[in-house]
Amino acid sequence: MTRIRVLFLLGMAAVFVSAGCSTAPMKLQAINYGEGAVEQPNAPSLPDGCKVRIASVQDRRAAPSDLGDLGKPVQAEFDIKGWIAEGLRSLEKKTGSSLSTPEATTIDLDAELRNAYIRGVATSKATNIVLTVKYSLKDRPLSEKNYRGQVTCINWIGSEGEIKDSFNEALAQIVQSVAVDVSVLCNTAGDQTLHSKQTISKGE
Amino acid sequence: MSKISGIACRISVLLLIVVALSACVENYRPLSMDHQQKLATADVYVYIKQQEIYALIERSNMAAGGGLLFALADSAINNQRAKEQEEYVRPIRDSLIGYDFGTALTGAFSRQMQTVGWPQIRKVTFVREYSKEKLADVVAESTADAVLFLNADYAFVPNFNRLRVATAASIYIKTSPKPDPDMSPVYLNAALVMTEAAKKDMSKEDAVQFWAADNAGRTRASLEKGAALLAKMISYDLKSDRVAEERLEKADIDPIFTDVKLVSKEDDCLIGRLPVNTLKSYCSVK
Repeated sequence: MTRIRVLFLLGMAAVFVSAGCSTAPMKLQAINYGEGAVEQPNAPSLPDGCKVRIASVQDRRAAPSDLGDLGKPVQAEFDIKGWIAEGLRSLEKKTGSSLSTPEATTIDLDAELRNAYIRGVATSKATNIVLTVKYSLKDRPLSEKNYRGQVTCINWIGSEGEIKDSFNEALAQIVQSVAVDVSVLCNTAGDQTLHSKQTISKGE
Repeated sequence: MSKISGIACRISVLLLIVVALSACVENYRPLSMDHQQKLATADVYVYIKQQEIYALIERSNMAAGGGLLFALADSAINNQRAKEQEEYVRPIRDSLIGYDFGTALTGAFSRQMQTVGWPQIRKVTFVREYSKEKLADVVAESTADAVLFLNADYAFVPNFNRLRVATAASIYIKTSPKPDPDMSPVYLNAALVMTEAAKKDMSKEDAVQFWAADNAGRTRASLEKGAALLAKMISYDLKSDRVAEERLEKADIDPIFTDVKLVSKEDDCLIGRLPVNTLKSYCSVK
């Protein structure tokens, strides 16, 4: 009986130790925006007549597959620009506000991904996405702004699903903030510019 | 009998953990005279895992006495602290969008090695992704005598009174064909720079303001200075048997280790060697 217990404890120790030293990367095949993304109940809708067009999404990061590290490197094996565009494109569905714009307006968005990463903090995980969005109206530049999506929560088992949910939630925060700014720009037909280079994120 | 088995069980587990930890933990290995003489040129390969600056947290350790309930409480407390630290560091991060510490560090090493003149640097590469396999490829493909590999990190201490910039440094001799990914370095050490806010007894909020002010000007300057000092310390450590040359001098450089060997003083910084041979520098910023 004691021998079984010894073997069990040795086995468990070996598993924990090997898990601790393993550096094999976790490769994410896809993240689908909306799956697990937490849409806030007060997520703003765009005024009637206000439309957005995602003109471009660029990835400005040094290592496009690098999505941080959660005990082991997390790598993207999918089109991360496509995922960002998918998130921003959800703004096109955000219509139906009781407000309406003076005239039909289409705001063009050019987005640049600056950072996207997850990292382990003790028994938690912290995810950050930084996106620069340039707004323009009929080729006239309106404004440029940095957005940060930031999510910190308990790291249960460091699973792929947990990681994807965390990235989706961080992107959802950015989309929500962009929706607020697009509404402002539509309502003023671009007369009112946003504070240039200001970084905003959830809660602001 | 069962008592003896119990002791044997504990010893086995402890031994396994000790062996495993010793396999994971790096130690100190000076560059031998023989290797110094053979080393004329080197490529520098800089790896920085993090994409942005972060703040360390003070980990709750209620479970140290044992117990699942305490472990769960630790997890909840640590999660709350992690959330708070992410919020505290956000204004500094926002001011540093577009700033690349990797560029600062590679530039500092290029300049420092040029000043010292040895080893001659052929190529400096900065990467965000690293694996032992990749490093073995770099060593095999290098046209220099060796590869100096740096694994750097930068963060604020939990109360934001200090900014910590650190690097582990190791040298791998060029071999052909491709070396085993578990190749052992001929040199291994670490260097650490602590930059302290000159104004004492600041609250955490004030300290965050201090580092975030003027588009995080103090943070940028301290990171640049930290990079330069890391380069200086590592290049100093590569030459001859430095440890034997140094003399023990009482220096108020580390609150934990008081028997630090003072290596040099410059401007607002003291450079010393800790008993574990790590090089450490303390600076202050106004």
